[in-house]
Amino acid sequence: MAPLPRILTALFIVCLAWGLSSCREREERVKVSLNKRQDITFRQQQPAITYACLPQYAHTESFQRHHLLVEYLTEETGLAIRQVFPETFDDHIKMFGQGKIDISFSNPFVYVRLANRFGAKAMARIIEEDGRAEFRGQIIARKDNKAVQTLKDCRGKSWVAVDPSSAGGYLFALGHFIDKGLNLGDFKEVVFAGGRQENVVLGVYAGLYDIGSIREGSLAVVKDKIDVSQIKVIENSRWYPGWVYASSPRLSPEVVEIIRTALLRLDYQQNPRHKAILDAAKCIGLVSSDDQDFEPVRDLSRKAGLYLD
Amino acid sequence: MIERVPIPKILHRLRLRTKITLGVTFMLVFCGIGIGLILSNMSSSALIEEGKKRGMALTSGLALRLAEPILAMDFLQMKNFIDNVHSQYDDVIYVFLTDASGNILAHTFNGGFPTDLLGVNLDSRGAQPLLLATEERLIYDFNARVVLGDSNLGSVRLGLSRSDIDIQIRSQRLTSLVATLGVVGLGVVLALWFARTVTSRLIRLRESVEEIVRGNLDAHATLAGDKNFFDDELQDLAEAFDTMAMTVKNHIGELIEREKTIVRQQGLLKTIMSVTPDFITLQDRNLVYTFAGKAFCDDLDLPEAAVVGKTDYHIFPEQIAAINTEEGREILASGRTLAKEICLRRSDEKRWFHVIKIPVYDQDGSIIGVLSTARDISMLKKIQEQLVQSQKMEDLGRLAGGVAHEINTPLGIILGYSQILVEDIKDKELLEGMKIIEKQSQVCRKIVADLLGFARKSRSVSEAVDIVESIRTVANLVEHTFAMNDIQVVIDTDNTLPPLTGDDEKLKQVWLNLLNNAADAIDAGGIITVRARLGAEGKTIVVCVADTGKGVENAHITKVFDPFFTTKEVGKGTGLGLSVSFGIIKEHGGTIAVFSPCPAEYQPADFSRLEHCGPGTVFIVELPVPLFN
Repeated sequence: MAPLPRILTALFIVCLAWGLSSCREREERVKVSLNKRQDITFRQQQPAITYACLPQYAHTESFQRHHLLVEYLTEETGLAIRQVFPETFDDHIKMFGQGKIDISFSNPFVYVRLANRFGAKAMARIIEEDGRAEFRGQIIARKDNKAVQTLKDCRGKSWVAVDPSSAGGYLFALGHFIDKGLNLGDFKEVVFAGGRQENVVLGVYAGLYDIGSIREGSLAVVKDKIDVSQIKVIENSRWYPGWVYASSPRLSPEVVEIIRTALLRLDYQQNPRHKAILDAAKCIGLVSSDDQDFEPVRDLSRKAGLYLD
Repeated sequence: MIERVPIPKILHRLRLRTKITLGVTFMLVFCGIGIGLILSNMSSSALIEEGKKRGMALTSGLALRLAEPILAMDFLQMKNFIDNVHSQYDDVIYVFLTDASGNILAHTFNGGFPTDLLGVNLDSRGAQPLLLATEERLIYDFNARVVLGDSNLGSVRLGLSRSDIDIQIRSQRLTSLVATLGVVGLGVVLALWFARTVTSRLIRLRESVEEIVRGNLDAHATLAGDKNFFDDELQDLAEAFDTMAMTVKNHIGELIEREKTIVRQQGLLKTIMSVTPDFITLQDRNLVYTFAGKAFCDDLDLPEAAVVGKTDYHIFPEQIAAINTEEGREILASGRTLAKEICLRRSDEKRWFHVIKIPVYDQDGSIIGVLSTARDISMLKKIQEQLVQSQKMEDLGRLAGGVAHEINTPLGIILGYSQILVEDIKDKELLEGMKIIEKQSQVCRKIVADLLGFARKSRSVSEAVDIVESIRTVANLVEHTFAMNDIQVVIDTDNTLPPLTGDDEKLKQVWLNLLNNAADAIDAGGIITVRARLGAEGKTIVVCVADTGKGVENAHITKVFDPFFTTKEVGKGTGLGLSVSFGIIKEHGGTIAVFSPCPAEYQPADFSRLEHCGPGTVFIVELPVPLFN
């Protein structure tokens, strides 16, 4: 064969081989029949003590904050404990009343309502990351909002709060306004953000509302989502007793004691596992608490004209 | 070892345009198929990969969104989420959600759940997706875990139709094939156009070359537009052809001009060679004649063709040929030039030639032949002889004059005493003797007087001379004497001739000598014709004296003007008359010539009827007429 045709033929074969070799390899197939059908029913869950956190954050946030603690309690007490996720504050209260929540982790206002309405008993309060077993609310606005410089400037403005039952995100701020001479009628509007602290911050940050009320520490939660330096704190409320673990009256006192003991056994300083559990829950420990600790809250409710039963 | 398989002859016979088109088509098809195949496979792989990524993205997105509903055990939201995805995309066959324990929380199947799905692709950490072969189609099954931190909340399973991807792949391959065929087709059309463009230019080149070969050097391989449109090797070649044609044309033009010049010069040279009286020949190294001038050929009475190509032995007598050959060899060997004068005798004629033979050199300096020129110098030789003769006569005249002068005195004494004694001597016998002495002394005295007249440079008288009158005077003087010998003198003169400036007495002596000489040439009965005419352009007067006598022999005709040359009997002439006449005419700035036999134009009209006549002699005297007469 002449050199040129021979080279052309070789080139053609090489290109063809390469082209064919570049074809995808035959993938492994698994034979599956879609015609073999069967009705599937959900297997009933095993009975367990239910643990619910007041839904001030998204369920996922709540899960991530509390699932380690739930696992810890399960291991420590030997009880079957399962976390449940109410949708709203009212849902939380309603589920507690319905017996769907055995251990409630809620703000003091919700606790007072649960205690007054369903006989909930406080077991322990958390110690905030700042070392206090108390917390407070914050009144925030956009830093570039010149019209809101002081608390008095909030008059006639639109106010977004977390939920009517939110302690740090609404009631503490309301009490503070009342103490400073501002009533609900002094605001242009009061809007609730569905129980989510993050929505309040984002609403103010977006400029939809002039001021917002959140519990202290919520800005840190959204620091990865927005530039929190654009948010300014107008004023803080007074300190109130912090979030509290309360037990349903359905639980036997022995079980409650076991759980409370386990909770109070958490050692942030000495036990790394406990530290990890408490870090996830955004606190550094728990202190024993009883219903008496929440009288300031009851006072605030009366001052604000709230119905706690 | 490479075995060369001969290309079929049919390919050789194809036109270049077809070959180019076939070649380009083959390359286009070759490249098109190759590239199309490769791109199609790449595209197929990309589509599959894209489908896998899309399925994985959908599944992962669902997993992210389903975390909250799982936590909240919000079955409606779960169902809504998976139904949204299922209904939004046609190629999503199914979606279902399981919790961490494998319980099915929600699914999109109607009429029960296909339990086989629960047995495959359970581990989301395995290679995703898993290709399922169902009854109806191929399905990619994706498994994405619903995780929250380190906690596994469940799994989302999504089935994406692989068949739809295959339909897209087939559609893309069809598009690729059509596009490839379209591009190849367009390429073939372009190849045809390209081949046509190239071959048309090659054809124009070929036609231009053929025109050039046919001699049309004005043919152009390039067109004016090509120079603006093309700037490639073919254009360069075409321009080179045009330049070549123009150069060849110019060169041929120059050659034609040179040829014309050469032909003209050859003609001129031939003309010169033909008209030149010199004998010019050229011999090569073998001494063969390569050229012979017309004069040379005429002299030998041979045509040029009979000389060229021959040697001396062919055209000359052996003796002369041997000499010429020897000289030629000597010149070829030595390179020296030969110059000589030779005398050739042909019948009764003797001719002198001045011969020059020179070597002819080639451009490299070698001798390639011998050029011979021979010039007839017979006339020159004659004039040289005349000059010698004149000098001899002058010397002789001077000698004779000296001798005569010395003899004249004692001769006068002898004559005087003899005349005295004749008067005194009474003895008759003695007186007769004395008279003889006296008579012979007088003869001697006349001889001496002629000698003195020949030798003496007497002063000439310069006066106006009427030639006609001068001739008539002399003719009258001798007419009576001539008549006694039955000699008739005919005077035929132009009476309007202008006067000359000269010595009338000396000229009369010339006419007298010529008439006496003519009369001596006529034995008994004859005519002497004296004719006087104006010469050419009126600058001379020509006097002709013709007789009907016995003429002069050829051998003597060159000597008639020599002193003391005479054919007359002893005592009848001294041989000085014509010599004296020659001197007088020369003294007047004229010439004198003799022709015998006498040309017819000088003869009397009835010359042929005369008895005892011929062939006759004529003397022609030519004397100059003064410019300002």
